[in-house]
Amino acid sequence: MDLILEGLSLTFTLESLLAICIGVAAGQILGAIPGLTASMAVALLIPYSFYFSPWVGIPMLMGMFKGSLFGSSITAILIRTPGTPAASATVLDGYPLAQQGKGGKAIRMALYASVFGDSFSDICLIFFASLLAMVALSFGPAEYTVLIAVALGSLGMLSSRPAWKGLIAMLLGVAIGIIGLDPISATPRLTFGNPELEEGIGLIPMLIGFLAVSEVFRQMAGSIADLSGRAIRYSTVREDNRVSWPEFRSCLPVLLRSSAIGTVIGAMPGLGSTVAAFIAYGEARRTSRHPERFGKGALEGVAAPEAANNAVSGANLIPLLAFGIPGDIAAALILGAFMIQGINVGPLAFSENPVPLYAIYGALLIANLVNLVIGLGMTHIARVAFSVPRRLLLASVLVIASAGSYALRGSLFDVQLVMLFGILGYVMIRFGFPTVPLLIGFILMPLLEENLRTVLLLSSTYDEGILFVFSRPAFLSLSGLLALVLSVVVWRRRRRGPTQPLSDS
Amino acid sequence: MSAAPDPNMRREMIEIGVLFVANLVFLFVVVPLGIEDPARFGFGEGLPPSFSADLVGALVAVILGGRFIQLLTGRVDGYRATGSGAGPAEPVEEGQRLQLSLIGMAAAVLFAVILVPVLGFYLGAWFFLFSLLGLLGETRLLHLIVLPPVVVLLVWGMFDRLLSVRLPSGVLFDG
Repeated sequence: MDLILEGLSLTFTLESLLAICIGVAAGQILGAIPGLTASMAVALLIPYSFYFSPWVGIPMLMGMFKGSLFGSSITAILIRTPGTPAASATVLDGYPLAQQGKGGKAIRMALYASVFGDSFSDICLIFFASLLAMVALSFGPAEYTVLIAVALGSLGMLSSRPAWKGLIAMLLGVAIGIIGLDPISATPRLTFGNPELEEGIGLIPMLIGFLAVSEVFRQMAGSIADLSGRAIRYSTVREDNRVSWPEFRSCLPVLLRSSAIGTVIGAMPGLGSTVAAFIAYGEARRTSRHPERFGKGALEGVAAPEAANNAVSGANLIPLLAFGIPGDIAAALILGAFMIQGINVGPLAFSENPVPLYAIYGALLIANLVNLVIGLGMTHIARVAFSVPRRLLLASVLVIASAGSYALRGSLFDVQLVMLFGILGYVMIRFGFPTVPLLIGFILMPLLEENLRTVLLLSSTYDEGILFVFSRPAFLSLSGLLALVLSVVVWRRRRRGPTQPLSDS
Repeated sequence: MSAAPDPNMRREMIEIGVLFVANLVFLFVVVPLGIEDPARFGFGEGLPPSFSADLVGALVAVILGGRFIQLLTGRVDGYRATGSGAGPAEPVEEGQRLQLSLIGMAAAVLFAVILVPVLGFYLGAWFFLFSLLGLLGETRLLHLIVLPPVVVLLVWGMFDRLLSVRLPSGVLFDG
C-alpha cells in the first residue's frame, strides 16, 4: 500500500498535473489537425519530454497520447479525414452526422466513448498487468527469445495484405537495428567508417522520419486544391451539439462491449486499434435493433469504434509493462520514452521497483479525467484548428520534425536521416509496405539479439546443448500457447479474408 | 496455353525480383564489407557479429522465394492491389500527385543537406517554408510573407526560449 501511495504521490504533484493538462490540450489540438496523428504527436513530443523529470515528461506524453486519440476523431467526423487509422471506422457514422449538422453531437459522443474506453482498459491494465508479470517472472532468455520472435513475426504478418510485405518491412527494421557497434564484440557493423553510425541509428529519427515525415509526403500527393484547406460548418441548434442522458444510456451496452473488445485486442501484440475499431463497429451493428441506421449517422456507430480504439491504447500497455513488448507503434513510442528516461518495464519492474508503475497508473487515470474536461472545451474551439491551411501545416511539420530530431543529440546527421527515412517510408507506403512493423522490428531487434545470444552462451554450459530449452516448463508452455494462438489467428484470417492493416498507410 | 498473368500479380513479381536482387547485394556485398567477424566468435561464444545480418538476408530470401512460388502456382490468398491505400487514383491525377510529393521530398532534402548547414536553421527554415508554400500552390502574397516567419518564430520560441536548445547557426553565420 505504501508503494502504491508513493507511486501515486509522484504523479499527484502540481507539476505532473500541469504536464498532463498541457499534454492533453496539446494532444487534442495536434490530433485535431489533419496530418498530425496520435503517434506523430507523441513522436514529436518525445524529444521535449527529455528536458523534464520523468514524472513530468511521462505524464505529459500519456496525456498527449490520450488527447490526440480523441483529437483525431474530430477530423474524422468533421472533414472525413481520420487523424489516425484508428479513427477510420469513426468516419462511417460520424461524417454523416456532421453532414446532418450534428457534428457537435458526434464529437461529444466520441469524447465520452474515448474516455469510457480509456478508463475501462486502464482499470484492466491496473489489475491484470501485475498478474501477467508474475507469470512472466518465470521467463528466462529462452522464453523471451521465443516471445519476441513470435511477436515480430505476428506483427509483420498481421499488419499487411499480402503478409509478406509486412514481414519484409519488419526485417528491414531489424537490419537497420543492426547498424552500430556489436553489443558483445564491439565490432562495427554496417557503419562503413562513419563515426556517426557507431552509436547506431537513433530511435527518434526513425520514428519521426517513418511516421511524421513520410505521412507529410503522402499527404502532399494530392492535388493543389486538396492542399488549400477546407471549410467546416457548425449547427447553432443546441440539441445538435450535445449528447442527452437517454442517448448516452442507449449507447451504454455498446460502450461496454466495445471497450471489452478493445481491451482484449489491445492486450495481444500485433492487432492494434484499427482492427479493434472495425470489429467493435461490426459487432455494434450486428447487435443493434436498428442496423439499417448504421452508415447513415447512428450515434452507436461513433461510440463503438471510439470506445474500442481508445481501450486498445490502455490495454497495449499490458504486454508493454508486463513483458517490455510494445503491442503497437504508440506503445513502442512510449517504451522508447521509458527507456530514455531510465524507467524499467517488464516483469522485474513489478518485483524490484513497482513505484514507477503505480505512478504511471496514476497518470493514466488522471489523464482520462483531464481529457474529458479539456475535450468538452475543445468541442467549441475545434474550428480554429481547421482554419490552418493544409499546405502550411505540412511544411511546418517538416520544420518541427527537423528541429525535434536535432534537439536530442545535436546532430545534423539526424536531421538528414529524418528526411531519408521519410522518403523511404513514403516509398514503402506507395508500394504497400507498412512502416509500423519496420519500427517494431527496429525496436525489438536488440532485445531479440541479446536474448538469443544469451541462450546460446548458456547452452554451452549444458550437456544437451541448445536442447536444454526443452527442459524448461515455461518455455514449453509458452511455445505451445503461442503456436495455438498463431494457428487460430492464421485460420481465422484465411477464413474471413483480408483484415484491416495496422499500418499508418 | 496458360492465361496471361494478372497485372497486379505481375507487378508483385517484379517487386519480388527487385527485392531479391537487393537482398543478394545486401548478403554478398554489404554484409561482408560492412561487418568483419573477429576470430574466436562462433556459435558457442554467443554468435559472430554478422550472424543477425546474415539471418535477416536468409529470411528475406525465404519469404520472397515462398511468395514467388505462391504466385507461380496461383496459390495466393486475399491479394489486394498495392498502393497508397487511398483507393484507386485517377490516372490523369497520378502524375500531379507524384509531382507534388517529389517536390516536397526534394525541398526537404535540400533543407536538411544544404539550407540548414549553410544558412542555419532559422533562416533556412524561413526560406524552405516560403519556397515550399509557393511550390504547393500558395498564391496569396500576404500568406507567403507572413506565415513562414510566424512558424519560424514559434519554433524559435519553443526550442530556443522554452527548451534552451540552440539549433544550428550555419557555416555563413557560425561564430
